[in-house]
Amino acid sequence: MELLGDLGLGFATALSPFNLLYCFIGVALGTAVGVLPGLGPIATIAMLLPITFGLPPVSSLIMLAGIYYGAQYGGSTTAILINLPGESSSVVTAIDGYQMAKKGRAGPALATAALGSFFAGTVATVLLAIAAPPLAEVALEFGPAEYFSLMVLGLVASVALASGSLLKAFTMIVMGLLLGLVGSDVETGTQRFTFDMPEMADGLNFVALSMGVFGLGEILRNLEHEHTRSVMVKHVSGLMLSKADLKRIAGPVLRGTGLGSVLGILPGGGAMLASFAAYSMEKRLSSNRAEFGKGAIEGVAAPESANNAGAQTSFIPMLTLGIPSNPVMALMIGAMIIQGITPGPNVVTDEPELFWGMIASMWVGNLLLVLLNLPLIGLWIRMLTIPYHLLFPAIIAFCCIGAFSVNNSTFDVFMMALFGLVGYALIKLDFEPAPLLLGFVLGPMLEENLRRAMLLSRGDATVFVTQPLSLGLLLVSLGLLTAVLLPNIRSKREEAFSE
Amino acid sequence: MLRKKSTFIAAAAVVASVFASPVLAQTYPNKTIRLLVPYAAGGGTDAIARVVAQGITAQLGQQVVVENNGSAGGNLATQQAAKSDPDGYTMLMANQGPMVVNPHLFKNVKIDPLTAFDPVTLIAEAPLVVVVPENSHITSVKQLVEEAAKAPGKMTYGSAGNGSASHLATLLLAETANLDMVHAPYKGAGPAITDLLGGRLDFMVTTIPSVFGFIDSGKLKPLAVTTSHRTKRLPDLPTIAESGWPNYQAAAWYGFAVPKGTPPEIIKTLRDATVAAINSPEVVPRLAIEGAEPVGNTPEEFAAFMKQESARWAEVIKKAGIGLD
Repeated sequence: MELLGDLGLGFATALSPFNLLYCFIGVALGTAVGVLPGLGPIATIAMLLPITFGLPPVSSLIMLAGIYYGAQYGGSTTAILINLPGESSSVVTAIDGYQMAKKGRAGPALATAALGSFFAGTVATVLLAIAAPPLAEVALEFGPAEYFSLMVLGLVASVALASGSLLKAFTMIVMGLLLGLVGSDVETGTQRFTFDMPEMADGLNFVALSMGVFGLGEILRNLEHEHTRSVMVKHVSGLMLSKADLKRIAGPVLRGTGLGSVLGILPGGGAMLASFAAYSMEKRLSSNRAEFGKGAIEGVAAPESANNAGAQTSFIPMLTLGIPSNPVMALMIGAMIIQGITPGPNVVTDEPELFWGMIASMWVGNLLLVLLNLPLIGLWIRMLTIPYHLLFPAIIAFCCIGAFSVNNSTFDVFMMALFGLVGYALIKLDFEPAPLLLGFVLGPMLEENLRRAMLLSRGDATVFVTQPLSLGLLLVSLGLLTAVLLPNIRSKREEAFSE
Repeated sequence: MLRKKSTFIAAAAVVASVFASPVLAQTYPNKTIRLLVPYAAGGGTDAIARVVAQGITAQLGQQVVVENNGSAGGNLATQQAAKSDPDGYTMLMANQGPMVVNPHLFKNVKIDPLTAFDPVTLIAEAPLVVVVPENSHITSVKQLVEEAAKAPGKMTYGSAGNGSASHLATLLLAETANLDMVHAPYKGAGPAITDLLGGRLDFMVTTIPSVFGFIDSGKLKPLAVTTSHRTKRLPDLPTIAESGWPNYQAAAWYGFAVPKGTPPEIIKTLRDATVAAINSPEVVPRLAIEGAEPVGNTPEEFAAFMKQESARWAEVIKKAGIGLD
């Protein structure tokens, strides 16, 4: 009953005309940056942070949150229609979504993405409301040893789910790990591979690397063939899903939502990991396994539900403990501190209007997003049908602004350009860039936590197997690794990936 | 014709140069002032910078724009500010780290912040707080020190990073009380606090806003503040000095500096506007949220303060052997 009262307060806050307006601005902006490749929610929120100072705390956080989950919707549109992830968490959606669009099933693919996201968003909102405080305790159990084992699982999983050659996926991960080594060593502060350039002291800029490899690399490839990029379908029809389709997506949406919700709560997780994990899980569980990679609707439903669920549940550790599980949450914490709110357990009790208002706004925002993304899909497609010679300079300009705005550094812009060439080379050589990015993100965390766990245990390596959570995660990784390496599963995997 | 034109240009140039200097000084500021902040957007320093920038904007009638660059421990922003024109349109948020710690910590700091800048004023000082997990049996700094002394190398403390204010304040305590403890550096205070909450670290010295919520809810127990006097934010909390180490004193501080050679009247304008801003009813409570108390001393006092801080931390860093590279 208390929950209903709290949610009542939340909806009263979220539905006030002023907050509703900012919620709308947030999700509309989020969809736009999601649709446009290269510009992600991190860069957008970072750029908008100064604008929020003049707003009341609730409105500004509602808007910033809207950008984040709004981008999860928008990203899928680009992924499905032009095989270019608009947002990093839509990378896997492109695999089957684009194939569906090629077969003239862009409408169902888009509808699946939007409805799957909406369902996941609704579930995640409820989850956030009921379970935020107790679930945050689970995150607290995660020490360095558990983090290390989680990262191992993440790396193993990213090899397992990479399409194409295992060797190439492994190579990409190792390359990502190596790139992640650049910068100051956290333990001692020693500079590694920085060539005495202070610009590299904090490591390579993630935004520059990801925009370069994914955004610019893709643009370069597209520029090769003048006419190959075209939006598959100019007028999307058949947005209604058939009964058969609904039946096929029910399971994947449910599983994706569940997996995404869990991975979102875990620090280091969030939308991207959730979508990757959901896709690989679905590929193993689905009865339509053979269709994966060729336009399986399950391959759209699962990752799209997972990324939206993950995006929303990653608010749980942030709102209840003040701990950021990903860079977007770190920015949200910054926005709260600027507004004079100390993120932590006291937010729920001291700022009930803010806490519940934000939760309620997420559901309202998800509803707005379905309206924005289905009936108004034409508008977003128009955005994508802008001719290349107009669109590319604009995207590149946005990318440059995004890369520059992280540190106000031109160095990062050049870095992005360099990684654009790297990304292009990788595409030409048939290497998938996604594992590289995962290696880059997970590598430093893996090292940091390994060394920290050893430091805290005073050099006792058994700490990884004596902690039950850590042991469990390592066993799962081992199982996954064995499964991938087993000859018969391996041949099946290759079968599944070959198109 | 040509002659006429060049005469005109020459005349214009003379007129311009006659007007230029005195008019500029009188009408300063007549355009946007940029404030370089050597920390990433969203942190405690950034919050203070933005609040005070708004206050100065109200005082001077010109926009003060904050530019963040937290790379390389803030060294990049410091270098950039040092290289800017000394015309009063570039200010640097001059903090402990980039001004007096980094030169002793990093090998490749290309400037000496103490000579490359003219100080404006010390804006505010904020205490750090010593915290332990709620289930820790330790209840005072005295007890913490006694236990650490009894078992050398057993106690572990977290910090926001190598050479951070949180690390240095703990090092100072360790040196003052002659303790041998293990340091676990993190990337920022957030993840270190998680491990402290989970009981994996024994204690931590950190900024008040980073743990205020946990102190409030009882998840962390505060033991003492690091400044020489108590803080208004946690008035019941003793200082480390009170707890038995009268010479112990450490604080996070925030100041403004401008590139060397900025005209004194411009420095005075900036200082007056800053002092008025940090004592205004809009800014005081927002500083208090950060646990910071306004100072607003003279440029000379600020210069002397930085010199003294630099010497002090140089010794701590040298003794602990934590210099980088």
